[in-house]
Amino acid sequence: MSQSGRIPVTILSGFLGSGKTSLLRHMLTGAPDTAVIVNEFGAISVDHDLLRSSEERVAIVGGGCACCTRREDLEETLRDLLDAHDRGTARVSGVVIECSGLADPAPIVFTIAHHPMLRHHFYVERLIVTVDVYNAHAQLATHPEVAKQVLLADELVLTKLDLLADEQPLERVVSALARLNPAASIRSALHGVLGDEELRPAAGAAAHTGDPDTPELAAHHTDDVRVLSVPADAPLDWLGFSIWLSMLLHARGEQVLRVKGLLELDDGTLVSVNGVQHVMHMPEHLTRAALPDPARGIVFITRGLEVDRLKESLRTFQRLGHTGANMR
Amino acid sequence: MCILCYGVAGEEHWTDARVGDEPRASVRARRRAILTQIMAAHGLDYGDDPSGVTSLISNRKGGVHVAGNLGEVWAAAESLAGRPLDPLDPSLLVRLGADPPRE
Repeated sequence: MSQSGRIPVTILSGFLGSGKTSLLRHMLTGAPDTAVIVNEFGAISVDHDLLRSSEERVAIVGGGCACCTRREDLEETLRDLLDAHDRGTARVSGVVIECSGLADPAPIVFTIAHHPMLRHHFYVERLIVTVDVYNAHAQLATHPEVAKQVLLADELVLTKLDLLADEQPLERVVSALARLNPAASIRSALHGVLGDEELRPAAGAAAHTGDPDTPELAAHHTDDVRVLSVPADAPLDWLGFSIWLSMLLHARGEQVLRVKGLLELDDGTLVSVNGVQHVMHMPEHLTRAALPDPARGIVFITRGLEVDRLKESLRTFQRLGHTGANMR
Repeated sequence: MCILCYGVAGEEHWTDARVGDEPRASVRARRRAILTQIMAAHGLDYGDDPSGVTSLISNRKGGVHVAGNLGEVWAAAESLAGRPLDPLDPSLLVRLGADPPRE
């Protein structure tokens, strides 16, 4: 998505008690221009000038798809922040929206990306999800909201590491989360302070492709979740890809939970793509100078779709694109 | 609002972003060729205006829909075809040149 002149929004999500507020406090240190939107005043103990409360109020849009839901409360709060910024009564250089533990982050992304005015002033920079490693297994197994938050995340922040007895369970949690959402980066935080290093799964931890070896962490809420990783072994035809993906999202958007990756095109261009269910951000051109050794490829996290069918469909549309290439 | 055709400019769709260095005319011609094949597989005709901004989708009963972006194209085509357009539909993939599914 083009970022020119727009205010970045960070969505901070995570289950109840997973350490969102501690992380938020740390994020706000030295960031007085960052506005914070929380569900209700008093629910969190953050002392910050630009604190706004927003009680979740939703409006279903279109055919009733769960992700295409407008958060009217957020529209009003963001408009108020923008007014204050424009009038000069508050300077807003960033916004953090802290979701309630049970909230679905997808409608927030939809609201900001589709509002006719707000989308010109704000963009979703990243979706951070905190995961309590001590209770991760139980929460993923019993709360579908937790699984959905993990599947949609750009960044997973593992908390409560100090409660773990040894390193072994942490490795298992990291591997299992990476299988569920290979597109997300994983870091740890101790009392809200983010660790510097990115945590990587143990070698051999494969994506959740439906193999019988999938981890117990996946549990029944993610049984039908499949990950399609398209490696960048051959350059893609952008037109064939974009027509295919837009048709897929129109027909099956509720089943495509996440699309994220870096594509190398026929002409050598690097393009970053990022989408949450029906909502695709504008593709961004990336320069090779900024990414000396980028990992190319694209990850689709889907629910209830056959990976082989998806691959065959993408291949067919790529052939269409390449066939059309002789018209250049 | 277009001052020539009075069409109202629609929302910018993510597929409208300029990606790569392929000339616009070439992108437009290839887009038209690909969409024509997809629409033909559903018994529909596809065309666009010379600027490439507006798409025209029609069925063979005289029904015509105008679409401002690719998101609107799928909705219009679905309405005219009377059925969903699904890129995972095996029969569509065969029509578009995929190998037939093995029994």
